[in-house]
This record gives sequence, structure tokens and C-alpha cells, in this order.
Amino acid sequence: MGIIELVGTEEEEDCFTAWGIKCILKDVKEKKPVKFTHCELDMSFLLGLSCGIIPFANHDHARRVLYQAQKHSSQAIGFPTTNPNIRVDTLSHQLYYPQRPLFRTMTSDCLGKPGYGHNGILPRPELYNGQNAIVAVNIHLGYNQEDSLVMNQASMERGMFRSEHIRSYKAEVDNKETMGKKRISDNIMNFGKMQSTRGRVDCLDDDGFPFIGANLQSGDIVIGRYADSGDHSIKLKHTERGMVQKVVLSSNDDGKNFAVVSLRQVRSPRLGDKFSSMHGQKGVLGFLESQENFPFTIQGIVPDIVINPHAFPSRQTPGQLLEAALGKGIACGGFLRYATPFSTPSVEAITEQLHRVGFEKWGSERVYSGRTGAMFNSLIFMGPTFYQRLIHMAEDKVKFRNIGPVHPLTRQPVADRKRYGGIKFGEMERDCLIAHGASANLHERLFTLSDCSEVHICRKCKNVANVIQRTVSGGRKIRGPYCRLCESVDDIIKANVPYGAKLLRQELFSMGINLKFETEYC
Amino acid sequence: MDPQPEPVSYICGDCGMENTLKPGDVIQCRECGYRILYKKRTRRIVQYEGTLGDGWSGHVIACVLKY
Repeated sequence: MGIIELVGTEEEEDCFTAWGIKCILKDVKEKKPVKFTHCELDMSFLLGLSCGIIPFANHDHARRVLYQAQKHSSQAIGFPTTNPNIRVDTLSHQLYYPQRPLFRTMTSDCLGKPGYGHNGILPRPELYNGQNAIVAVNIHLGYNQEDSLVMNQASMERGMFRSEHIRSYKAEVDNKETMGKKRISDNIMNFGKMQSTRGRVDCLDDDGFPFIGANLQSGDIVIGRYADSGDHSIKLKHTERGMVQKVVLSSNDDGKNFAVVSLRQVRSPRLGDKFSSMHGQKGVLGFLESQENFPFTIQGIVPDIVINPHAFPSRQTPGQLLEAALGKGIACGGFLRYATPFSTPSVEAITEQLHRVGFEKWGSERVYSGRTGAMFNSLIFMGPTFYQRLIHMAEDKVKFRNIGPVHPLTRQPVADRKRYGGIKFGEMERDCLIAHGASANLHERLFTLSDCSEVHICRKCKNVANVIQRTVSGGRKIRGPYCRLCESVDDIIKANVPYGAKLLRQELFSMGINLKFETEYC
Repeated sequence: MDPQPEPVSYICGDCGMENTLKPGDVIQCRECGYRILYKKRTRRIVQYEGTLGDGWSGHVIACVLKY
């Protein structure tokens, strides 16, 4: 009794763990033999870390809790390391002003070191990746429909959800240590500036590295490297850009020299950036509204984020509303601070705390329109909610093309964004154009701008006539379409056919299936 | 921009000594033998054109770095 045992996942299988002390006491009271071998320290400890810090997780639909615990918590931008300035990760994100949520849970209390801090505030809040935003549940000119959200531009300019993104490029060359072993005729690579046909080298110094602070755009060379055989420079990916943060050089025992160039980019929230609360409620930024146009309360409070009320009924996440109501009480100095899953404060306790600090007890507020100054007929629910910025940002997803690379087999445009591909015009879009009767547009999308090609067809036998070289009478050789079945060129016509259709015919033909083409003039 | 290119020097990550490197040299501090070197900040004038989101577009924040 009273021994704390740390149990691993394998051992857990063979334990009969009581959820809480109440379960054991119930057995004792009923004079039944106690069947448990262990007891959780707290009921919420049956959940893991990412789940145990979700406030009111027991009030949310299990699927929404899983969204937060598995997806959003791993995608949220935070402050993951204590040494970001000396690291050279391939890609890392840092939130500018990470905050600790207002509420606490049993699990969150275990993250800090006991005995430090003051006023019951724990030190080392490093495991939170987000900020406390004042969230109003309201419509906003239709700009928060379908899981989008409206954000306060003034808040954004003050630095809310601003983040830094660092990408590092690495290159290596051989140094003199290995050169002794190598033959002189070998191709020796070196860092250095050389006029390149592959990209601009304006920002490079003579050593082949860009100067600190250089603004690199797509098409620039990041690391200049050349050998006798030619240019081996590293080019910036065409979707990337940034300013040079640092250039680090190093070497190892195998006679290699390394260089890493880190590029930094600071991003403020933009239209299309993704955000999420801790309740699996994700949304993209739909509009950055000026502060003046938001509804304001009697205290002059204006929301940072406005989310749509339709996000709640079918998703079943009242936990977020409870978080906001509790957070509001805490922000005003309330002492009810815990939102530990399975031992959450009751609605009565939360509303009572809110009422005591002078708010409407359900968390709603009387607001006045910032646009017109008119009073809203209904009260608006508003409160601080912990929000996360997720790594999916509009800037990384911009995709466009006019003329570009095509797939060598199908001759249709490639799909990949990295390779400057096209955007798929899928079956649903096709259905839409058919419904509108826009057949010319449809023909252009799917044929002219995709894989248009021409084939020769013999109208007599309806087979495809290939272009071949043949000898005509008199020994002269000519090249042109010729039907080998009819042994003539009389009825051969040229038809527009997608290259994909031609390819299919050829593939079937190779398997011994012939396709005939019925044609008519138009 | 610079008519007379000066040799690029690097700062040792351990002792802070300034090093110059020639092509093919092993990257190592001459003073202490530490193998991580950082490129020095440039003496060029760097102008930062900042656009912080939509509201700031058009504003140009210029800061001149020179020492």
C-alpha cells in the first residue's frame, strides 16, 4: 500500500488498475474482496500526455479528442527546443510568443518542476504550442463559414501567431586530407563562386556561400560548388525563399568538409493559414478584419478570433465552450483553475465563478457592432481559448501553371507542385461543366490544354494508319501515313485524339486487341 | 557591389578566433582545432524589405547594417 510503481505498456496488460481510489473504496465498503492490483494516481492519468492536457476532454466527442491528441498537437507550431540558434535542422518552425493556457490539468502540473515558480504558477511551460486568443462564437459577414475563422488584424500586427521558419541546405566536398590519397586526375570538388547557367549567383561571396542577411528568391544558388567537370551548385527549391540566417562550416575525420546555409522566414497569419483549438476544431483563416469592425463589449474587449457557431452542434465539443467560460473566470482572478479530464468542475461551479467576477454567468456578453455602432439583439459568447497555429500554411501550398512539364508516357501535365505541375480538373469538376452545358470549355480543359494529339485513321477499314517509310514505284522512298491492311493511302484522314486514347489503343494492340475508330466529318 | 573583394573570414565556434580558409583546406580553427566555424557577418549594406502580412504591404522597413 502506498507504493508508486512505474508501469510500462507491456506490464500494463497484466495489471488490474483501479480508475481512482473511489473504485477501491466501493469494493471495501461492499465487503467484496479487492480485485485491483494497482490504482491510478489521478483519473486523467489513464490518458497520455497529449490527451491529458486537453481541458474538459471528457466533455468532448472521443473522435475530436483523438484529432487533437494525434493530429493537431503534432502539427502545432511551438517553441520545441531550447537551442534554436545553434541548430541546423532541415526544417523547423518556431512560434514567436508561445503562451501557457489559462487552465491547468493534473498532467500539465506534472510538466514543470515542483518547488519553483511563485503564486502557484509552474515554471517551464515548454510543452504548450499555442496562444490564448479571445474567441467569440458569432458569424462575421459570412467570412467564417465552413470552418473558416475571422482574425483580428490588429492582434496579428501585434504579433499574435507570428512564427519563424528556418530551412537549412547542406553540401559536402572533399578536403586536402583525402586529396593525398586520390589521383590528381580525379575530379576535385570545391566550394566557390562561379557563373552558373542554373541560377543566379548575385548573393554569393567568393567562398561560394551567400553573405549573412542575403535575401534569396527562387532561382538563386544557395551554395556554390564546382569541379573540373562543371557546376555542382545547390539551388534553392523553386517554392522556397528566405534570408540567410547563418552559414556553418565543419569537417569530419573522413576528410569531408561540410557547409550548412540556414534560411529564415518570418510569417504572420495570412488568409488560408490553418489554426485549431484543443478540441479538434480546426479552421482556416478566412478574413483578417480590422479591429474597429469587430463587435465590442462594455469593457471595450474585441475578439481576436471569431468562429462560426455551426462548428459545435454536430461535432459535439462543448469542452471548448467550457474552456472559454472557465478561462474567462481565471483571467479575472478566479481560483477555479483545473480542467483535468474526468474531474472537471461542474457547469454550476464555472458559471458561479464567472458570476462572482462580474460577468454574465453563461459567458455571453452584450456587444455593439463596430461597423454600425448598433447593439446586437442577442448576447455573444466570448472567452479566452487556447489556439494553436498548425504547420499547414497557404504560402506552402500555392500552385499554378500555364505551360509546364508533361508526363513522358501519357503526355498529360504532371501533378507535383515541386515540379511546377498542374491542378487536376477532376470528375466532379467535369460533371459541373457538363451540367452548365459549357462543352467548349470542357473540351479545352480536358483535351486542348492537356494531351491533344493527332492520329491517322483509314476510313475504309477503320484502323489506325501509322506513319511509315515505304518505297513507291520507281524506287523512290516516301514517308507518310499508309494503311497496311488496305495497302492504300486513299481514305486516310487525320483526327484529333487525346494522347491517352492513342496510348490505350497501342497498349491493347500489343496484347492482341485491335481498336477500330468510327469517324465522321464535322 | 564591393569593388575590392576582401578575403572571407570565419569565426571559430569555440574560441572566437578569426580564420581564413583556402579552397581544399580542412575546416578547423587554427588556434584551438575546433571544427565548427561560422561565417562572419557581411560588411555590405543590407536593406530589409519587410512585408508583414496584408496590412503592412507597401511599408518598407529599412535598416542599414554597417560597422
